[in-house]
Amino acid sequence: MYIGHVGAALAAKRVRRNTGLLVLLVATYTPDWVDGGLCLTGAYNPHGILSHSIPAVLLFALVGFVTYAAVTDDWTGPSVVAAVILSHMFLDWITGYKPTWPGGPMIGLRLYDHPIADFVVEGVVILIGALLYGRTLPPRRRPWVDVSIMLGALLGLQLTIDVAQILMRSLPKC
Amino acid sequence: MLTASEPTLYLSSVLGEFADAALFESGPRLLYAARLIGALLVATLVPILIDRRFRR
Repeated sequence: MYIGHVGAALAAKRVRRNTGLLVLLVATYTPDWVDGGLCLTGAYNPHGILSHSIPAVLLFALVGFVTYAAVTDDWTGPSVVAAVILSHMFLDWITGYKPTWPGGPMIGLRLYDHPIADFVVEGVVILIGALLYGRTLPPRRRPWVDVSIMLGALLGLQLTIDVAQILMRSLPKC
Repeated sequence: MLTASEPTLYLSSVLGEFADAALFESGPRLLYAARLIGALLVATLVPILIDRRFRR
């Protein structure tokens, strides 16, 4: 999943308003940031064992929980951060094809191969996230305008990625 | 007259080969990493900037 992960972060903001959106966005993309770091250093694994497998994501969630617990006084915030990191794995199983554990099977619906279906599914996740996020905003006369701006920007990004997927299918991986 | 000594020529040739290999072998990898990290930055910064504007 691409921009759909932002939907998970926005939804989490509704659950825990005190947690900064930046923290939630970093949490939601943690496995992909790890992928970027591994690619940069030349340690990238094409199947994503070190970044997207179940043990790897569980480890990231634990690290996220402990790290955020160290800077807050309660358990709810760290639990939400850990849940957002875990959500990456479940959402990727819908759109991608990801490893389970070293030597284990790969799972996922592979919607990346069908960009229109991918856009629809990610759009639904983004829509749900944006609607929940709208409830965290300060009261306004026309609150739907704010939600529409966020929703429109995210759907625009997702559309750009899906169109790029169609036009540049042969781009090399790391 | 200034002339390059043999060790200097050897060193520059070795360094040249190393630079060529590093560029050609790691080029696509670095390009992919730059694309991935760029996309992650955009996906993170766009909602953050919109959110900041809403909460001003």
